[in-house]
Amino acid sequence: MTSFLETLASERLARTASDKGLPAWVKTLRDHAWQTAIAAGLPTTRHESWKFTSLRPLSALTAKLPESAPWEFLDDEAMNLLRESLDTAGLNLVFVDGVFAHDLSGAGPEADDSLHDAVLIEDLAAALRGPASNTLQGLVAAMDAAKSKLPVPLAHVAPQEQTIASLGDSMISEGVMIQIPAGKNLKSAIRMIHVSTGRATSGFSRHILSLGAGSTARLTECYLKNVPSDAQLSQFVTTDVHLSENSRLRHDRLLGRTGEFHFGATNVVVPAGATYHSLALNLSARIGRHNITAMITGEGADVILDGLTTSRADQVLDTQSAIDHRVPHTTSRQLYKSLLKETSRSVFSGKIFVRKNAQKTAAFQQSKSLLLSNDAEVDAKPQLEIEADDVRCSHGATVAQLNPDEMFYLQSRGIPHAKAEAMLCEAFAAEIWQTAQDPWLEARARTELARFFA
Amino acid sequence: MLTIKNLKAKVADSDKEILKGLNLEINAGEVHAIMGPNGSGKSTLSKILAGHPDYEVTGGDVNLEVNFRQKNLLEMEPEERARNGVFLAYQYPVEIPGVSNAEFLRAAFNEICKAQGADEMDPLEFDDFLKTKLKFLDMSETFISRAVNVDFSGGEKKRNEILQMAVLSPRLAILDETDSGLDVDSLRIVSEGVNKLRNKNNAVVLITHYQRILNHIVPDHVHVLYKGRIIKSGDKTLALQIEENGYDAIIKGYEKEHQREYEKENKTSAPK
Repeated sequence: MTSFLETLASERLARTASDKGLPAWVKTLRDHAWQTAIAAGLPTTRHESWKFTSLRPLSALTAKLPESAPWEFLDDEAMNLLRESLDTAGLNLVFVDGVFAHDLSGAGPEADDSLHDAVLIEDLAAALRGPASNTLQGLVAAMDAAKSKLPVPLAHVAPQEQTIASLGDSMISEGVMIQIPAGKNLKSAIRMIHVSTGRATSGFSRHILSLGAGSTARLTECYLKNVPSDAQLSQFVTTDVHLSENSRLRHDRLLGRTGEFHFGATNVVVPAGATYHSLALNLSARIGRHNITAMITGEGADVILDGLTTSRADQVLDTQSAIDHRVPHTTSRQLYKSLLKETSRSVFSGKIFVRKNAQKTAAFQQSKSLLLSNDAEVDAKPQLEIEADDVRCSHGATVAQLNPDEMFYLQSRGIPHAKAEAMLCEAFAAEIWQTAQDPWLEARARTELARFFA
Repeated sequence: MLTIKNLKAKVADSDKEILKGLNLEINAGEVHAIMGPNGSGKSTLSKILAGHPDYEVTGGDVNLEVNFRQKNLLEMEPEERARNGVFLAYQYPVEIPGVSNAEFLRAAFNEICKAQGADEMDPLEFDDFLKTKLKFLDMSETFISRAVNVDFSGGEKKRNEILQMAVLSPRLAILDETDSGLDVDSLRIVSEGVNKLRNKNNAVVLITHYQRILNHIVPDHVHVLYKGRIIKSGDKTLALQIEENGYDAIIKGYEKEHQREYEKENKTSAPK
C-alpha cells in the first residue's frame, strides 16, 4: 500500500467518531467502496488506461481530510472570486476544499426567479445527518433502480477507473443533489464552484444531477484559485448526470488549479431524444485526470463532448472519454484540442463503442494538438469498437507545431515572435473555449488562458 | 533609400545559390519594376528583403535609410524590418484561421506605432481608422471581421495585402506578383490603391512577369533579373520591349558579354 492510501486509512479511522450519526446505509456504502479501493490499489502505468499518467507523485502525498469549516481560511482573492460570481445570473453552489459552503452559496440577483422552487438541492453532508437522510436514501435507491435498468453498469464502460471512483465513494460526505422537474426550462446556470484554501487537503465529493423529461438546464462546474505547485492538494470528484427522455443539458467544466492532483469523473446516461453537450476546459493541474463516460440508451439521443487542454511545466492533463452507442439512430461528436508547453504532457484517449444493434449511428471524433516545446509529449489514442455495419464513424488525431508560414506572415507585419506565437495559439484555443455558454465561466477561462500565454 | 550591394543568397540547408551578386539602388519617391523569367530569383529577393528564414544570405550588404541614417537590413529580425518600414505584399498570402483581420491589422499597426513612438489605438479608434482605409480601397467592411485570408478569393487576398499596406504605410513596399491571378477589375482596383499610397517619401518595388500592371503603376526604372543578377536596367520602355520580344534577346546579349568577362576572369586567375 502506498503512503497516500495509508495516510488516508488513518484519516478515515480518525473520523469514525464524527461519523457516528450517519445512517447505516451510508456506512455500508463507504466501507464497501473502501474495501474495493484497497484491494485494487492505486493504478500504475501497467494498467492500460494509466499507461501515460503515472500516479507516483500522488502516492507520495500525505492524505489529509479537510477542516470542518475550511472557508475560514479563504483569502481575499478567493472571496472576491466568489463575490463576483454571486453578482451574475446563476445559482452558485460553493465548495471549499471539497466541503459544501452553505453560507457562501446562493443565487445571484439576476438569476431565474423560479430557480429555487423548481430545483431540489440537497446538501449531501447535511442530508446524511439530518431527517433528509430518508429522502436522500430514497433518491439514491431510485438512482440505483434506474442504474439497474441499464444494460450494463456504467463502470463496465471504463473498468479501469474503479479505484479512483471507489476512493471517492469511500469518503463520501460532501456533494449536492440537484433535481430538475420535468418540463422545466432553466435559464440561469447552476454552478458548482470549487475553491481552495491552498491548505494541504484531500477532498472527496459526489454530485448527482437529474433532469426530468423534457427539461433543459445548464451546469457549470469549475475548480479555481491557484495553489502552489508543491501544495499537497488532491480532489476526487464524481458527477453523475441522469437525463430523462427529451431533456437537454449543457455542461461546462473548467479545471484551473495549478498545484492540484485532480481526479474527476463525469458519468452520463442519455436516453431517447436527450441531448448532452459538454465543454471541458482542462487548463491547469499538477496531475489532472478527467474521465467522461456517456452511455446512450435511447434513439435520437445526441452527445457532444468538446475539450481544450493547456499544459505547462511538468503538468500532466489526461482526458479519457468513452461513448457507448447501444441503440440505433444516435449521434456523437467530439473535438478535443490541446496546447502543450515546456515538459508537460497531455493525454487523450477516446473510446467509441457502437454495439451490434446500434445501426445508423453517426460518431465522429477529432483530436488536435499543438506542441510549443520539443520536450512536451502528446499521447492521443482513439479507440473505435464498431459491431454494427450500417454506421458513419470517423476519428482523427493530429499533432503539430506552429505553422512557420503563419508565424512569418505575422512577424513580417511587425508583430514580434512571442506575440505572433500567442496570437496563433489563442486562435487555436478560441474555437473551443469561446463556445462556453456561461459568460462568467468564459471570463474565468480567459484569465486562466492569459496565465498560460504569459 | 535602399541600397543592395553584391547580394548573394542561397536556400537555407542547401547549397543552391539563388542570388549571385545583385546590385540595386532605390530612392525615395521611385517605382522600380523587377522582371525576369521564371526561376531567376525575383521572389527570393523579395523574401530575403523581408527576412524569410528559408533563405540564407551568404554575401553582400543591404542598407535601408531611415530618417537619414543607414541601417543594416540584414541584421534585423523580420518584425524589426516591418517596424522600419519594409512591407512585402505576398504572392501567396497566408491564411490564418481564428485570427480576425481586424485583430491582425490592429496588432500590426500598434506594433509599428510603438516602434515609431506614436500612440497606440484602441479597438474603437482603430475601427474608424480602418473604415477610412477600406473606403479608400473600395473594399467592403465585411473584410475586417473575417479570419485573415481564410476563404478569400485570389483577388480578395491580393486586395487584403494592399489594405495592410494602406494601414501600415510603409517606407518601402515590395509587391511580389501582386498582379498574378487578378482579373481586369481587380487589377485596376489594386493598382489604384497602390498609386494613391505613393508619395515622395516612399518607394515601391513591383515584381512581375507582365507588362500589364505597369500600364497602371508606371515605373521609373525597370530591371531584368536573370540567374540571380540584374542583367539590364532601363526606363519603362524596357518593359514594353520585353513584352514585344521576350527575354531572349536581352539574355543572349548579357551572356555574350558575360562570357567575355568570364574568360577574362579565368585568364587573370590562371596559374603562373
